[in-house]
Amino acid sequence: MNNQCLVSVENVSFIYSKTKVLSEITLKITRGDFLAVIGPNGSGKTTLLKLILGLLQPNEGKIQILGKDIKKFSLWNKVGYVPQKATHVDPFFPASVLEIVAMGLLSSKRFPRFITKSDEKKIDQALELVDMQKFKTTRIGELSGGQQQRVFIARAIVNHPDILFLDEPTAGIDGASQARFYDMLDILNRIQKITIVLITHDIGVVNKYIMKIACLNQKLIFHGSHDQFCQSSVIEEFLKGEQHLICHRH
Amino acid sequence: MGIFSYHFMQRALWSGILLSIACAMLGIFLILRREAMIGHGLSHIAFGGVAIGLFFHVLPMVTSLLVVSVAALGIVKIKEKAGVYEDTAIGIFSSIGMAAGIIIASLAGSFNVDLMSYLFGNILAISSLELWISLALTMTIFISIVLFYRELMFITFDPESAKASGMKVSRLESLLAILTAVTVVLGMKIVGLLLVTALLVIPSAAGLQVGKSFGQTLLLSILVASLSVFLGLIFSFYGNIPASGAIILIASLFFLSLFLFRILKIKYSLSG
Repeated sequence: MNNQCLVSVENVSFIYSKTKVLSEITLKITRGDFLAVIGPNGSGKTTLLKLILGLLQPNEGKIQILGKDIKKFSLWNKVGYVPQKATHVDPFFPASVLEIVAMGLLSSKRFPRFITKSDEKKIDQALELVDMQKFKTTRIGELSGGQQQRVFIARAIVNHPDILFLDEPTAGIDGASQARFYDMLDILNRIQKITIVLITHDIGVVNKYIMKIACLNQKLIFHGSHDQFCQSSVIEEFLKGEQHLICHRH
Repeated sequence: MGIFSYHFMQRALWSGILLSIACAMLGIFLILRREAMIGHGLSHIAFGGVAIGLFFHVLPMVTSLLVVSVAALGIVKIKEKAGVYEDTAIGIFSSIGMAAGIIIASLAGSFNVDLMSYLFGNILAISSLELWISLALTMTIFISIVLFYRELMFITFDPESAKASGMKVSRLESLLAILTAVTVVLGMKIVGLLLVTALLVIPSAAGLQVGKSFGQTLLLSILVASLSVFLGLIFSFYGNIPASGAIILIASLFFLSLFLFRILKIKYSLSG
């Protein structure tokens, strides 16, 4: 694992309807990180992620992914994304698991983006990694929330991305499924060497997996290692009584 | 079959099948994107386009295609750039189209019979030229959907992730709007402006009841739409009833049957 910078956010501010949602954020994400971006509701976590992915444009500052300015970035097959609403799938949407995962391959293909036999092998491998291969022909709406989330991970990693972004991926999923889900992310990070950026408001659940923490509340309050986070007096004040829970690793 | 030995019935069958393929291929995307009523709105706008064509003695299909395409793009852009809800944008554009059509029809006065044929359609009066135009338009829709099938499925299922994968979501939405405009124009002479939405929505809604994958649903929708046209023409011929109405009612019966099948299947699997 080296210290190659995959994402660079420099002095980024974002204003929505005259309200400053993010102010002068500077952050670097290096290869191999398992970074949790935490903060209270409305702190700008999802906004920051959308800015990094080019879904929103910053009012100030500069964002680079894999060394390229986000406005000119084209290597989308190196980036995986699991959105927040992935756990709210339309139960009547008629796509099979295979068709959903195939969507992830489109960024690596040239027009016309037909799915070939070799692509199907990649899909099989991705489904195997998330232990969902036996559901390949199942309609996505027939799966449980936890299973759907695994399919979305498969879609996000089918191109073997360098970095995987997840926005509150376990919202609405039961505790047991959450634990299995984070175990899987841990494997992707350690074995598959995928850099993971996880937006969450429940630091207690992901505590044992993460290496680094970025704490947001319109401004970047903290960015550093898990251990540094536990010793930070600023964080103790910010999170009040939760500090002892957060720093307990299983 | 005897009735299809008549040239006008052959033209009716082919133009109907072509329209049904186009409608079924697009309908599934429109329904899943909660845009099923865009066809309805565009058909109102097409009324204005037809009136303009008849007023200036230009082929109404051409003027409608231009007017409806511009309006379809307008709806997409207004929704995207001005933050207006899509149904509101459809309501505004369709009202303008309808109002313009009424005024032009009233000013001219003499072409109301022609205008009526576009409102209610007359599949049995399709000319060879109109059949060839139908073939060209359907091929345009078919090739576009085949080429952009995966992208359209992606932006329909999860537009945000599609955008984060580098898909040009706005361009694909515009493509879908233009193809819908083409389909409405294609359908106006065949089933009429008032019923073209039904052919866009009902066969796809029927396919959605039982399809296990997107591809399977698409094929089922095409099958339901094509069978509706085929059976509708037979009922129309022997029952001496309007073909457009017969086609849509048969499509509705397919929908109802597949809907009940799904409900019974769920009930059976729960009790079993």
